[in-house]
Amino acid sequence: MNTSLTRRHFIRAAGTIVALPALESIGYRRFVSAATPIAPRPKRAVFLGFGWGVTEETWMPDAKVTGPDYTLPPGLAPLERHKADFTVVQGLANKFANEAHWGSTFWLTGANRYAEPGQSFHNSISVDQVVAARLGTDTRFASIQLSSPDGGANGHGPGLSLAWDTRGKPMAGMENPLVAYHRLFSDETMPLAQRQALLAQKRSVLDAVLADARRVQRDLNKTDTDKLDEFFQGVRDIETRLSKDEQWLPVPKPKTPLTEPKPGLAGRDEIALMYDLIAVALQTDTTRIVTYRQPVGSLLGSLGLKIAAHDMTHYTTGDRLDASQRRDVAQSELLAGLLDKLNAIKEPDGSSLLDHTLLAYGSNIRTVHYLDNCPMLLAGRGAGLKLGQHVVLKHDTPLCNAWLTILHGLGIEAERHGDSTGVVKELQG
Amino acid sequence: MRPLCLFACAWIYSSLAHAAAPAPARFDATQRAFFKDYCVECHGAETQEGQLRLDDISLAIETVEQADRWQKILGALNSGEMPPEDAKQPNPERKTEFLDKLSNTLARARKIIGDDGGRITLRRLNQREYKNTLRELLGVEIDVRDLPTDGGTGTFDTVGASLYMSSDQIEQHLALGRRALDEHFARASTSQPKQFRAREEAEIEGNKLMNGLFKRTQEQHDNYVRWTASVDEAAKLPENLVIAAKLRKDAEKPRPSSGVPYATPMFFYLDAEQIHGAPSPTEFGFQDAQNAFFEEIQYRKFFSYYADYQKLPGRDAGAWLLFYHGYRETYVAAGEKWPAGRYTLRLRVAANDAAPKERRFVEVGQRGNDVSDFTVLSAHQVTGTLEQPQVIELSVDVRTSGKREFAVREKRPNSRQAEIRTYHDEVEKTGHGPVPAIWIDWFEIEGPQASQQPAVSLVAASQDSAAARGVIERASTKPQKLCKAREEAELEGNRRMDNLFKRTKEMHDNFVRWTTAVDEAAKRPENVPIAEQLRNDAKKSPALSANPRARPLLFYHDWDKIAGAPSPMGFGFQDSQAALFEELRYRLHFSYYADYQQLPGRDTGAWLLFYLAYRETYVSAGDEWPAGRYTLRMRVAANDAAPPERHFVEVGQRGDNTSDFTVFSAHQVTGTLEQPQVIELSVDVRTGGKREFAVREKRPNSHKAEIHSYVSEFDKTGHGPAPAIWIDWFEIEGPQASQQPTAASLAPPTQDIAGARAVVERFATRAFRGVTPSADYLDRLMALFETRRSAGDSFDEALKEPLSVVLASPSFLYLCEPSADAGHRRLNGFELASRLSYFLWSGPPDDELLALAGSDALQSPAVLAAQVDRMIADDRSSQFASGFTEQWLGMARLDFFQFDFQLHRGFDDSAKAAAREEVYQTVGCLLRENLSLRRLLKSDFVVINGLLANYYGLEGVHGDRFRKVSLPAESPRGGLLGMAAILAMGSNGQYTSPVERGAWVLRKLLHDPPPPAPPNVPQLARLEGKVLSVRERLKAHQEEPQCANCHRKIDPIGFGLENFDAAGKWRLEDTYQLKGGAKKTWPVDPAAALHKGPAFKDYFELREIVESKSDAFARGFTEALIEYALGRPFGFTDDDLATSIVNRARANDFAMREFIQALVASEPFHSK
Repeated sequence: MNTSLTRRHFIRAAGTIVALPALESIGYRRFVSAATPIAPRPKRAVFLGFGWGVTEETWMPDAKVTGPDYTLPPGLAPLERHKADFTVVQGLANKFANEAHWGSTFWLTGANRYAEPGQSFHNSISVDQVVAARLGTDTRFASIQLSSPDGGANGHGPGLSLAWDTRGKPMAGMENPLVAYHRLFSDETMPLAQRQALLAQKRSVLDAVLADARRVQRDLNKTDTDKLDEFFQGVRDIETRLSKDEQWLPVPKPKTPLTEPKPGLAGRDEIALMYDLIAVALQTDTTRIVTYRQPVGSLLGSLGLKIAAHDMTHYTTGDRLDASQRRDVAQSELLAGLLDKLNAIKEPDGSSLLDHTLLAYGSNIRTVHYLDNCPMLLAGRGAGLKLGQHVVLKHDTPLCNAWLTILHGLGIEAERHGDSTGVVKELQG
Repeated sequence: MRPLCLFACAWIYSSLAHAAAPAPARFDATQRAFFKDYCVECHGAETQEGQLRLDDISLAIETVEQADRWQKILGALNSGEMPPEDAKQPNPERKTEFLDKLSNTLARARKIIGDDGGRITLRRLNQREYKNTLRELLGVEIDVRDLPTDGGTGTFDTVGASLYMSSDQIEQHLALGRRALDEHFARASTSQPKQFRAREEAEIEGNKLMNGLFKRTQEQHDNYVRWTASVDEAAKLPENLVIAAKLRKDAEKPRPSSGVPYATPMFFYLDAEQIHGAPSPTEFGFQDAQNAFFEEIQYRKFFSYYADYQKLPGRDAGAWLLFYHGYRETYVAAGEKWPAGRYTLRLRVAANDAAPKERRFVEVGQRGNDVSDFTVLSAHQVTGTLEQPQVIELSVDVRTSGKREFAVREKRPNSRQAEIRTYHDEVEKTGHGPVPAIWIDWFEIEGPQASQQPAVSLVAASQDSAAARGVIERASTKPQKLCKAREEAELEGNRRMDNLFKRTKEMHDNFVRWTTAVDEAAKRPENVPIAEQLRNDAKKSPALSANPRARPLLFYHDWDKIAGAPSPMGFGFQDSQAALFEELRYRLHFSYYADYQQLPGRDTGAWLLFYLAYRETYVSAGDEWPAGRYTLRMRVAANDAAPPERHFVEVGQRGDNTSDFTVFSAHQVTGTLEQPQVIELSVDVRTGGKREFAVREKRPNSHKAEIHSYVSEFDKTGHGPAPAIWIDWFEIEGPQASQQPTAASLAPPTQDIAGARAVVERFATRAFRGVTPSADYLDRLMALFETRRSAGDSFDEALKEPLSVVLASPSFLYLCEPSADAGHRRLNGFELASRLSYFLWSGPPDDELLALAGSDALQSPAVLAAQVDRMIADDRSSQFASGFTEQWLGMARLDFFQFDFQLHRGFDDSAKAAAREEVYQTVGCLLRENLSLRRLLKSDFVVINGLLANYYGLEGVHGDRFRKVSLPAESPRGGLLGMAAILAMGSNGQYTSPVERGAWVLRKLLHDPPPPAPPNVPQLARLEGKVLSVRERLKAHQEEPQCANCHRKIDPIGFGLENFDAAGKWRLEDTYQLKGGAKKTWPVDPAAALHKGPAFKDYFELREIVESKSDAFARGFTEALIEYALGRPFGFTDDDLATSIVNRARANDFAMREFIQALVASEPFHSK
């Protein structure tokens, strides 16, 4: 299992110049010379999950009017100016979804929680990670996971972000916009040689840690070996990251048009800031794949709504319905703002960033405790989807069919994802 | 049938040889009948719609596929999709029963299929354990919130299978371990007790107090003169001559205050309102004529006294101690935690040459409860002069119990009467009060003094027993610790408030002058039409219209349209907008500032306000101070007139926003102005963290809430809320000498490679809980050390590198219990020690456990049982009480929502924290005292502190310590059902949720958990927009079988708890209001009946019923305990283990420790 340990022959002692194998990467070239011929623009993917469902009466378009001439209901009205940039899809569901309060755990995976006998919880790889494995190789970060605290209270269910790795383990997300900002854009002040020495030292640290891990590994039974494998995998991931860091060592972090955010932002401001970070991360080619598990409770708070997020979803006419609708509108306004940004950012060939980005926005919960007809909005021309449409699919079309369609649209010829049964032809442009 | 096989192969514990695989979940034949009646027509042998056949479906659920199929069936029934509308429908009762069985059987099947067969998976330390382990190892407290949250799949945070490890986490562990080591080394280097101290001080020095008095008296007098002059003017009008004459005559009549010679002519003005055209005293800043009278008396009595004080020399460096009125005493206090011993008091003083000789003395003593209650310890002649002050030094005893505050004052008779008489005699004689005799620069306390003599000879020095006790205390004092404090009078708060008061008043005066001038201009004939129009516009203008106080002002906003009206700039305003704003401020806040001026205690301290201005007091550890544990200390008092729930302060740190304040602790304030109290607590100052600490009145973390409190009080009374907390000073001192010996010494025997290796090996062995690190591993660690050394790091610095790697290595991060696949083995001593200590302490084994483990004695049942008792008695068992209990009872929910401060003002963050703590402290108390688990269902005592006692309305509990308090017989408290935290969890922060409460009781107390909330159940739309009682609303649950099958069990229990509001306060009525609409109030009706169970007429009967089911409760508790202790989900494999534990505990009336002892003694606890 820990066979990749032979990977570091090229490491030299501190201070020596190390080989930089990735200088040829597209990402790097953009930094070196603007005169370099423009390569085909890379594709990007963004997944935004908002946990609890929507107010279906005022968010879902009239199912009888499909195609381009549908009317945007009030919950989506703030997106009117982008109507040509997105498609609303109805009829999707995860057939294994059975947890009425888990809006994100299986949203991108389609897994069956009970699939493994002898275990009470199981998950599988999320679609963003499938994309990252293919499209994330040339950037400083293969993918970025953004999140917010209190996943359970926000209707997301178990998980640390929307992303689950190849083994179905939860991937940590950055919950604080300030932390994310520094992680993505803060300049390294340390001299290059010193950073190289630091990398070498980090590798020696990993060597030491592995020496102990191998001792622990002796005499473990199967389950424990699997468990400890998480540790080995973690070390391998760090090594991959270190190699990547090494490639990127001489490349300064991109200058960001964003100034350092104020700490302590919550709710609406927090989401707006995360959206800004997403736009800039894509613009600077810091990463090409982003997931964001958005807050709900603090959004309500920032809108002056005094209601627990879960209670809002059980809306009846009055305060709760009002809260639910205002939340839909606030989210749509924020999303429209993000689309504005992606549209305004021009690529070297004159196209917009939105032309090369696929953006999925939704939840595994429709409304109240309903897990069928999941809210789903797909935007951007990155996956070649047919936009400007209202598509109503056959009831209980696997949600994973939509993910598979997106994979294909992004140029990843996967056979299936989760419990998919095929692509959604209606979405293909 | 693979799962069956899995259970058949499950390990069989030797002592539980009869443990068999559980019977598979199975429906009974009635289910088949239901299918036959309603489903088979479409889903039978012939049609098989949707490829589903129900006529021959297996009634046992043994595989994931079968469970999924049944899940689909349940889903179709729940969503109302099946049977189809046009098909025959089951009657509601039958459908309810069917759904009940179906959902419960399926839940059971999922549990059986998901059962891990008793496997204990390798597990890593969770966040809590990691933090505790670092503390035990290195003696430092590290903030671990950077680590990702543990668990989240609904299991305990000790369950290995749910504890993941990722690259992020490994890196975080490396970073956190490094931080802990930095902190450790930083603390170790300052173990020499160098003391630091700081104190929040805005100098009052009496002088400021006296200045304030001087100024205020003067102003009030001026106002009085202006007012009376106007009254006199009016009295001269012809129509007033008669009444004025009569009133002047009446003024001659004797009244109270007649004894004061200058009062008589003033009585005339008390009736000034009878004089036509006389201005009201309110226009001159008085509340009424009586108040004006009083102020003027004060002026005549004291003004010369204050004025004289202004002329005194030496006021730049010190203050004059007055004899009668004003600044009479200076205080200093020894901290609560300072060791008992002999201390030095020091004061720098001078005497006034002009004062008679007999007055040139000071007294040092202690204040009692009354003004005249002062115990003099010693008197000292003052020979110093202002030019050459003198330092007086004396020794005093500070005892473990007893007052720690000392005072200095001019020597005087112990009688207030005597003081007053002396003052007035002097005034009569000279027209002035007695001249101040004593000037004081500062007053300090320092110590304890090092014992000079051997204890034996000291004991002989005194025969009196109290003194002897003092001596013994002193003998045990470590002489090297030096604590130091100095009293200096303060006034940041008062200064700010004075400024606000003054500024607001000035701005208002300017505003009045300006608007008067504008009004004048508006009266000119040419301006009349435009003025009229502007006045009308002002009535309509939407600007500021939300504020009714603003409306009349709007007219002035457009002053420039009135020809000849002066610009507001001539009156000190930027523009008219600013002028309006200032005036609004005045109208809203001036009374607040003015009230503040009247508060007592402002000579020595300041009042902390709830809303505006001086809300917090800060103190900061200096940047150069070493990291470590410091003492925060404050001297505070509470305002008796403020409601008791406001007698609390919070200590914390300010964030970046107004409402961003992290509360560390809340404290009840029992001190009074006469006898303030010193509160002391310890805080960590970290290398990288914030160094400023704040104290404020306890409050909701919401600026909105503050504004609301202010405005609502202002609207009601015309005043803001009265200040509740007075603070004299606030200080920080430290670092404290490290009390906690750390587990592994990091001092190298020699400062070379061999020495370093010895330290690393010793540390790793300790960190690995008795497991020796491999040589290969140590070699690599040493290579890291040497690299750092050759890179120029110091020995200590280089040592941190390998040590921090140890803290990120698997042997440290995981509880390793290697075992081959085949089956079971018994744990060795070290493994058992770790399992035990992480169970009861959430931390590593200590020296004693490791020693027993090393000598193989730990496995002996008697030794083990004794260790369990010892560990429970140890403070560290509070980690179990909180860590286990929080998860067992699902208390994370308490943080899911903010409590609505308007509906539940008392339930702020501090109250919530105390309520949460009550639950943990109660469990801890039951454990320590080995009381019955049943006390959690019903009890005649509670474990609370002063804050909660106040919240519950229980008398006689003061202070912040949690302790057992007996309950009156009729109290609804006692037991989990009466605890505020538990009740608050069953709400949404605004209203109660009988459903949450009922489901919680079923889950946690009655061990009858309802199945998880089903998806796709249609929402009840029938009740939309109606204002209904909770009960009416929930009745609807009974109408639909999909709802009824669970809610018929859940809801009645919730009804029985309706006498508790959303924040756990007892109530008799409930109300609900639609936003801006109808409101309904109804008496709470707690009567209901359990489903298929007994009826109850109120909460008390419900509690009896719940208590009678203590067997079920004990079973649920045991299952949770097994899961928590063994670190894997409770499975059917554990049925017999649970039964045997419950049986043993029942034999001892469910004594708490019996459960633990039984579990620790069991075979599974010893096996891997």
